[in-house]
Amino acid sequence: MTIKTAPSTLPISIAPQAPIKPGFVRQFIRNPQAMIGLIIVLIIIGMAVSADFITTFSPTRPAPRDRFIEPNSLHILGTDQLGRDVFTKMVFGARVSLVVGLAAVTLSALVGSTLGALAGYFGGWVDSIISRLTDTFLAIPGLVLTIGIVSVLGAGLDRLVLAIAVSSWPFYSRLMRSSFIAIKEQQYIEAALSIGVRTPRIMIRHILPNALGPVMVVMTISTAGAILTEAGLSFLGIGLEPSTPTWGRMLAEAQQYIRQYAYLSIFPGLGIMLFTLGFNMLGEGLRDLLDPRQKKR
Amino acid sequence: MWAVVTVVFFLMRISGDPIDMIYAGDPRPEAVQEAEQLRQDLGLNRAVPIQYVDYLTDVVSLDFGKSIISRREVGTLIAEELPYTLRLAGTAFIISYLIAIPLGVLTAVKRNSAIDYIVQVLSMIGVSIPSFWLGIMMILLFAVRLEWLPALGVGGGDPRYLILPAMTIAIPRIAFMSRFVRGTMLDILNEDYLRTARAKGLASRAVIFKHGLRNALIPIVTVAGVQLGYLVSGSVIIERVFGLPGVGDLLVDSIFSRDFPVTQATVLIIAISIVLTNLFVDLLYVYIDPRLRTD
Repeated sequence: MTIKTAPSTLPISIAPQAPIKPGFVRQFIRNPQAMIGLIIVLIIIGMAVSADFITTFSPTRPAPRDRFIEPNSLHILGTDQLGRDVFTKMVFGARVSLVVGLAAVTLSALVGSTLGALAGYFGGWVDSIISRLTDTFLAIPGLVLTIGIVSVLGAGLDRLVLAIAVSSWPFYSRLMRSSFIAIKEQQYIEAALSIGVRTPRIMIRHILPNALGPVMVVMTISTAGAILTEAGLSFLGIGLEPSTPTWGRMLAEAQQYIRQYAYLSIFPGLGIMLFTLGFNMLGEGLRDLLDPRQKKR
Repeated sequence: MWAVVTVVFFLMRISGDPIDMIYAGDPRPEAVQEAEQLRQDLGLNRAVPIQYVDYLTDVVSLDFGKSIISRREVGTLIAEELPYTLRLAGTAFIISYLIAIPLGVLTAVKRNSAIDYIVQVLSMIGVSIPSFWLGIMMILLFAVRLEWLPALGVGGGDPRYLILPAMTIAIPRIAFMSRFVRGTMLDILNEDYLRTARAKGLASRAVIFKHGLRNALIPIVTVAGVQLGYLVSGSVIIERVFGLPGVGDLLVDSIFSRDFPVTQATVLIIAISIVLTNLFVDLLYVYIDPRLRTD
């Protein structure tokens, strides 16, 4: 028994061919959803990057005398069961989320897009093999696959990134394949071929730029997904070393103090939600701008 | 199906020997011998192609081997835990469709109204919320503060214990599905045949439900299989939050105890069940869409 191609397994729907047109930046600024998303994302990235400057506390060193301080002017989000400043841990946690999110998405987008482009452009047996592989990976639920891979590879930032990338590359592969199939039939490609432009150049210079829009959208929304996956795995206690300050682990540790110190459970979750919300809004906004079909609505 | 089994097998083997991982850092001199014994018991000392063929035979005959830790049949372990997960995921599935479809239709029909706008904002937040945090917040609000519902465990099958975890899994799915239903309905409401139906003087309710929703059902059923996949993998984390038994709990426990056969079999069972669901969905099309019956 082989797997039938499910008609739509992509988490979002988007036209395969949506080139970035001139005037994009002006449109972008006028799109409130995209702009709010971008601002949220930029603020959190800014905090993650400058973590060492905006806080004087250590995210890991315990301070036994400062345990369970409710939020005040010095510890704006309070301190945890070991006396560590919650705001500091969150800023450093944002850094981990950001690194995992961006690295996993970049890796999966590179691998998936390359495979999808090859499948779409060459067709034939190349397409058969790559498409079959894509469908197989799509059939396995991403989170379970990621957990399975992490369980074998062990904990670590690079391994977690790899595990998330392995379970998310098929989205790009499928998207790129359909973009390349649609674009290679265009007349300007025929024209380029007839004047003797070589295949790699056609793929990279003539087709790729017109296929990039949808990939950007999926990358943005996948970053949100990767951040959620990292948080979920950290919450379970798998994926990253226990010493790494992550939002997921903060939540796992806070759960046993939920009756007395609820603030410990609230802030890290808000952080995760805001960060993913920012990326989701940015992605949805980008899609609205790129997909003319949506404008009718 | 075969492809999924193969991918799971090779992904689990790709990093090398699980026995090395179990005994890594074990300082006792007899550890080497124990490792060798275990390797023989599990058949891991043979060549990978032979292991692969054996593995295929085992999977076909539903023999997943024994747990390294508890020495019990992995198949039995999973069979014990599966009903809990199915009950949770099934409840969440029904809740999410019962709420998401009406919500999606409503927002599509009344698009750009205040209610559409509110639902859009809420669903955007809903797809961004980490489900386990949502679970913690539900416990905080309904169990700790209001004391309306119990927070942890199954309570011997008492349905009240199911409400919080099922809602926790359902809410992000409702957010996603209502957006999806809205988008699909909008596409269909713009179609010419709906304009024709309205022009013929049909009541607008009949147009929306008989002509609109019926055609929107196909993509909605299509994503049901994918949704079920999300629900099952969602329950992996949610079972930990609410201290529930289930396949997810078994999976995470097996990772911590390095119980390799259990991890592998659990991942495989979940993957296969999702593939089967998608297959079932494909068959379901034919009943929903008579146009496909001629193929």
